[in-house]
Amino acid sequence: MAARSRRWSRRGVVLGRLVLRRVLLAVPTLFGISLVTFALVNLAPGEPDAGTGGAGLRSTAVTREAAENVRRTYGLDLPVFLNFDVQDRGKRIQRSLRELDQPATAPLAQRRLVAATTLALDELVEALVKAEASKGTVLRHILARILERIGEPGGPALAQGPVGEIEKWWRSRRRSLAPGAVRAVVGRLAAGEPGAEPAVRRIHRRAVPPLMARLFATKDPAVRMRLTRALSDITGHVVNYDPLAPVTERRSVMGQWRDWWRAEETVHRDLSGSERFVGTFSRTRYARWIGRLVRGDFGESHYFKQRSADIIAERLPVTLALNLAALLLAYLLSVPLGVWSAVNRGRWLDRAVTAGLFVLYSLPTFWVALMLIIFLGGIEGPDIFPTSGLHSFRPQDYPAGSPALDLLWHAVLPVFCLSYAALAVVSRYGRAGMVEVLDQDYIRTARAKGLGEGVVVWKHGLRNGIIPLVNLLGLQIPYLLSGSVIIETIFDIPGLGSLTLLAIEQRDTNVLMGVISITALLTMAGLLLADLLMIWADPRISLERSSEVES
Amino acid sequence: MNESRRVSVIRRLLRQRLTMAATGVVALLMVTALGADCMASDLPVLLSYQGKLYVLPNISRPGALRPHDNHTLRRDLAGASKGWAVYPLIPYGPNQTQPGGALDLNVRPGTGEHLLGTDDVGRDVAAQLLHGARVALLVGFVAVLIYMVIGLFLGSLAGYLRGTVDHLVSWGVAVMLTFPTFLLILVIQGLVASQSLWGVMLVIGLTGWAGVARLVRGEVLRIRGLPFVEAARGLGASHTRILLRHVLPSALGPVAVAATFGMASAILVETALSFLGFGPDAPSWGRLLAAAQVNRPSWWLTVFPGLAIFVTVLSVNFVAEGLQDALDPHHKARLPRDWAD
Repeated sequence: MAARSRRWSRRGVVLGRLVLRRVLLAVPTLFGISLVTFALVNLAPGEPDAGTGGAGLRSTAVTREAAENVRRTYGLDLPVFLNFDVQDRGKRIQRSLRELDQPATAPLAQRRLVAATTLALDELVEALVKAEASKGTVLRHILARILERIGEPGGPALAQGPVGEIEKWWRSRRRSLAPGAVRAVVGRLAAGEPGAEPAVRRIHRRAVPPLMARLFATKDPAVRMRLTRALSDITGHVVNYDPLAPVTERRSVMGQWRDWWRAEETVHRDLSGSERFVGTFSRTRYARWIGRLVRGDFGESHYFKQRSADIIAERLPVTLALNLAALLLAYLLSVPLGVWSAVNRGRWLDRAVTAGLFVLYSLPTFWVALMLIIFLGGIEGPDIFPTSGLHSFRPQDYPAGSPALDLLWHAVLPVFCLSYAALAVVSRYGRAGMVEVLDQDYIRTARAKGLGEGVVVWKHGLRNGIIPLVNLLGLQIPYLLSGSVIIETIFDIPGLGSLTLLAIEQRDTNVLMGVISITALLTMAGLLLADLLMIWADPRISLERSSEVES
Repeated sequence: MNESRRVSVIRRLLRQRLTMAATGVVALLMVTALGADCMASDLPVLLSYQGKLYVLPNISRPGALRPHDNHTLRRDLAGASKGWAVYPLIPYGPNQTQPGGALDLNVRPGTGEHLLGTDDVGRDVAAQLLHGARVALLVGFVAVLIYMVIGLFLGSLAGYLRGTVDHLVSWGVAVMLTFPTFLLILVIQGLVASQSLWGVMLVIGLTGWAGVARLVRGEVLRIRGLPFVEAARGLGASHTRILLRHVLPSALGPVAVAATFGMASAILVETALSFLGFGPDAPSWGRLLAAAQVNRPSWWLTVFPGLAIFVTVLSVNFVAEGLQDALDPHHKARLPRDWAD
């Protein structure tokens, strides 16, 4: 008894080590997969059309600015893997001021500076002091528009006045834009004090960082609503938080602001030297994606206008359920079939079954699916099975009035198509494993002991014959997921597979990357599960592994 | 492989009737692929027209006949112009949308001159089937060739050099094997949107090497420890010579089996891609099935190309299995997926 419990605790240790090793191995593997697919998805020609307007419209400064903003929101202005030119507030403003000298870039630069409002004032006033007359006119024009935007009293007159006056005004006005003062005003807005809203508008863009910090810190719907209203008003990125909206929509709003801030933070803030160095790696599309991924966030879908994670979460159970059903069916049928085939090995029935399984294996899934739809779905021949979706549209179409039966009825053809190829593979392995086992000495011993043939085969034989099938379980998952793409498309099932195709067609990169990551994770989990089942099924393995690990 | 072993392998192969039948089917498919133009074309095989004799104008496509197809030619020959023509078995081209001048959409099989009917834009199904054999076999062959080269190279390096190279290759293989390859191919094809035949072959080839690399690595690891390799090293042979002359030839048997199974699965991948609309822009069996998917009442668009795919894949798989039995009569059940994944 003691020996037995020692053995089990030893197995526990080995098990723990194995799991740890699998997980440690999974990390670089997932990293490799994400790197490859991310490069693929992001370096492929063509961008998602995220409302950037037609190509013909991009020629004016207004549409060019809009396109620039959208590109920044989706991170398309960032390099994919390494960023050697990390932008921040100061750099952007300086660049725009320089671009004012070029006739080609001037209109866009002007719009950018005006849009930056209070963020640009430091550099703008400084440039104005140093500028010659011709450039001074442009700068004064920009200043006038900024002052107009923030509702500065006497703004236009001030902008046209002497440079000394402007400098003096800025020296005093600057104090009200100091970080501490701004935070206080934002705090008043969050608390819902009257008069705080115009005060925030006067601080304008400089209020954005504390507003964002507040927005992410609070859980109060009313505060969120007030803050997003002020942010929409200032930034022109109009996404309002509605406390009465459904939860997915509210989550989408918060996600959109988070996405926006990730893109816009460096527009509103200066970076220190170390931040800039880290930015070489972190301010890239890939790092941004990984950063979100860690929090289970795949970003906003361009096509569905919803969080990708929500879409995937909605569709994943469908695919999982269908595949699990298929796998279960395949194993339930193929284990007895394999055993029976091995017991009767060499007879013509066994040969016929083996050949039949080989034929089954060679049948292309998409063809079988289409044939079933045509000949069992009422196009040519009887209309037995429904061929589209997982539910009948009208409740009166439910068989025997039961929605569960309706679902089952809809699932028959897809599950069959998903399972038959697995069935062919699994029973071949099962037969081979059993054939090998039945030749072993201990089977002969069991027979010699006078045990019945049933006990010999199904108890002694199966226990070892089943081991290769367990290992196969993990390897089947990638194939099932690939098969889901085709089957779900043909049967019009709203699962992960049809989502993949849709995401490819719409170039919905966030959804696509999400699907790929989930798929890779599922595969890893399947391999781990197969390993654990292997240890459970085959005691020899844990001993071998333990000696291997310890040596 | 020495002489006597080779003879015994061939003898074992010949004894398997099923394998020989399958080989026959594959040979027939190859002939079809090569001669598709002479079996289905909009131009005759032999033509005497306006006093000139054209030999195989369906392949050379002379400029003088450019505006013509089977319909206009036949009208001309029946009317004013003197001459005669020998048409191929199926007198339609695979991409010809208006055979006979009329827009024959969704014609049922057996009606008129369309043996297997037409699709939703009026292309003859039989002609597409014959030309589809070319695409299927070409993709299967070239794609497998590409990934065999990659797999052989990486696998033999890993198995022979071991150490860091082995670790790197094994990691790459593990990554590729755990990932659903078809999904990867789909993503590449969908995003890069290359509609060329060579693009499809390249994509399948570049994603399929992992199984072969693993197989070759294992074989090389096994063989490099055998006495005859040691003997070669003792005789002062260089690493390259040992690898190319002694180790790799001994590993080629399983690789040939893997290549044959791989061809079947590459054909399946190509048809699946075409079916989903990401395939090459060529007459393909998958393209016909894609037309069937949106046009379900035309059952003949499903039945015939599907049968063609099925028969092809089955025959190639049978050949592979026969090859495996012949090379290694006592093999454990290794499976196509094990090889070709």
